[in-house]
Amino acid sequence: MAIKPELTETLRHRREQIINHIPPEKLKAMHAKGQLSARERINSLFEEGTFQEIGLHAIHHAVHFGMAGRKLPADGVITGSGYVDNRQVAAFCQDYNVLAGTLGKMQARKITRVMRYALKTGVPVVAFKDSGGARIQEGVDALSGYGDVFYANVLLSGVVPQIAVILGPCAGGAAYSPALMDFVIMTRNNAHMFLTGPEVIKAVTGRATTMDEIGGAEMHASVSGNAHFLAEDDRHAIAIVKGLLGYLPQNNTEDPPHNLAMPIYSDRDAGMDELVPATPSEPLDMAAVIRRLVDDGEFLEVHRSFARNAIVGFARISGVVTGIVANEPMVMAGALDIDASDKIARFIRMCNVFNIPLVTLVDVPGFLPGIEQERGGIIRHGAKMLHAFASCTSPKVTVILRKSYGGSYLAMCSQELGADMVFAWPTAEIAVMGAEAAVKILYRKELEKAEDRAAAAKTFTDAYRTEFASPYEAAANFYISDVIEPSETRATVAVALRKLLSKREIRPSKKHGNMPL
Amino acid sequence: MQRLFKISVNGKEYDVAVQELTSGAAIMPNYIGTPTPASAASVAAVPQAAPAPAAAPVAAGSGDQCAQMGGVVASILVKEGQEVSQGERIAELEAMKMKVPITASMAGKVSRVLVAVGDAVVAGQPLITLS
Repeated sequence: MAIKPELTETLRHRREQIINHIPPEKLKAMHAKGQLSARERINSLFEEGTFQEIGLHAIHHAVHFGMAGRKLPADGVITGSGYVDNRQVAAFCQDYNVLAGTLGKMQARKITRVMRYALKTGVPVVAFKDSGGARIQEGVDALSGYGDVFYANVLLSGVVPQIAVILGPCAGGAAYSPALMDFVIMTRNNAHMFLTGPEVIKAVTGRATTMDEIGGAEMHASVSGNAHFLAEDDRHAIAIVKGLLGYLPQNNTEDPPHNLAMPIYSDRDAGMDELVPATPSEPLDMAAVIRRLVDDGEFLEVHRSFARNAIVGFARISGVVTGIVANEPMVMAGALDIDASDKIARFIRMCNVFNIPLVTLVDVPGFLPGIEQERGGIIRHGAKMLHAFASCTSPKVTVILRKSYGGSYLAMCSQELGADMVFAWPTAEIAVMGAEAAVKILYRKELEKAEDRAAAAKTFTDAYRTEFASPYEAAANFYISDVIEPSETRATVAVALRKLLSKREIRPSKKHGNMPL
Repeated sequence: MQRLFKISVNGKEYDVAVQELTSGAAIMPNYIGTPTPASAASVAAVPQAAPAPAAAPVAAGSGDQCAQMGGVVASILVKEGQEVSQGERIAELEAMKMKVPITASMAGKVSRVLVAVGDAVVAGQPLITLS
């Protein structure tokens, strides 16, 4: 007794037809563009032999517009799960070589099925997007399919990490699925995301535009902020996915993959002292500070080219996975504006849902003054930072390096906003406003009477700066935990983070806070 | 078409000639979301370069090094004709009591310095042109 050979033969034949459906010359053309086939993408993400596919034989049931009986391998999407660095990850990859990767009801069912599998098993989802959009032949079924995917995105949001990798077109409603996920990676030359394309924009507004201008990877990475990472090609994008997964927990009930076997730093780092500029007006090199603070100088920066006046990203500090939030004084003086507020708030909330501790590095002259900022709603955007920091229950360590003025002092996770530990360098200037502006208000009468107004202003300003533009006024009022030398920063932060890992904070139960949007 | 205006600033009168490049152009550009100099340069590096917005009266060329934010020109660190390397600090603004470095977005030669120390500039305004 044994299975009839023709049965296994049929199965093998069917598999072969579905898996190897791309003609070699087409594959070669894709490779030349820096693209991989859908199968190759899945294979390069997972450890060999660990991918289990679900729905290989699933196919559409559409009959209109010549669809009846049309064989579409795997219905244009590969779905399943496998192992990345010994941790299970669910994934799906749209296949542009199957009716342009268009989405109909079956493709949507396959995608939502694998997403719900990720939810049940508590594992991250990686979504490779490469699709012409809705499968028009399926009509409202295609539309409904998108709705099902969005709903699943929202269901999973805050439970398991969701990473979207855009490797080709992702247009129209399809673009909302990545926007609902935690991270968006786009490849430089092949990826595009937009709601309405150049033709529609031309027809409606009369303005000519290009795909790159409205939906290119560089634009989304630097201007719109829709993309968190810019990859050179498919392989680079997959490398970013793996790097990112290395900092994230499997789901919201787990801790991120800390390396607690690592000894805690205790050495002084004299190099940090050297990074402090001689004068307060000369900008500090925040990127250099971060490199010295984190293990092996390894920092995975998120949103690198968007709102460059702020820096956010992942690192480990003595093995503890940490989300770093920092001002970048080299760009726009490090002032907080609308885009920087959105970037920081989004990052904080992502860290909070995945139990990632935050280290906030402060050197901020204030919120950016300006008509465009006020009219653009900096109040509600800046408020997102306040809301995000105050509602974050992950461990929060703040280090005030230099300037920390007014509302921006509070917005950069002061003690009042819930920082568990606040350290300040001796160069910290913590005050309600800058010395010049404060003197104009506090000494208005004296200045009016003064014979030499400029000299009097300088005397008052110098006195104010000595007294108040320092960490000691704030320290005396117990708004900071300690004043530390820059060379002590790495060891101090490392110890504080390790101790805070047992932090538990209970908040009043509610559906969710009403974050300003 | 060129139009002449007489404007008065703090009691001082200035004669100003304004050349209109586009009809119906907005008077003030909206700089929200304007890419920073570095990203503007990288966007320009895409084969199909994005056309400059029609409404902006000062259309920044690819070699233009622009102000990241409004401020006062604190120093110009290069001279016309000088060779600069990418990332080199070529000027500094002062804004919010901070020096704001302007770095070259590309290697090249300084073809024009468009502003002088003490000038007030707005975000996105070209300061130095490289070629």
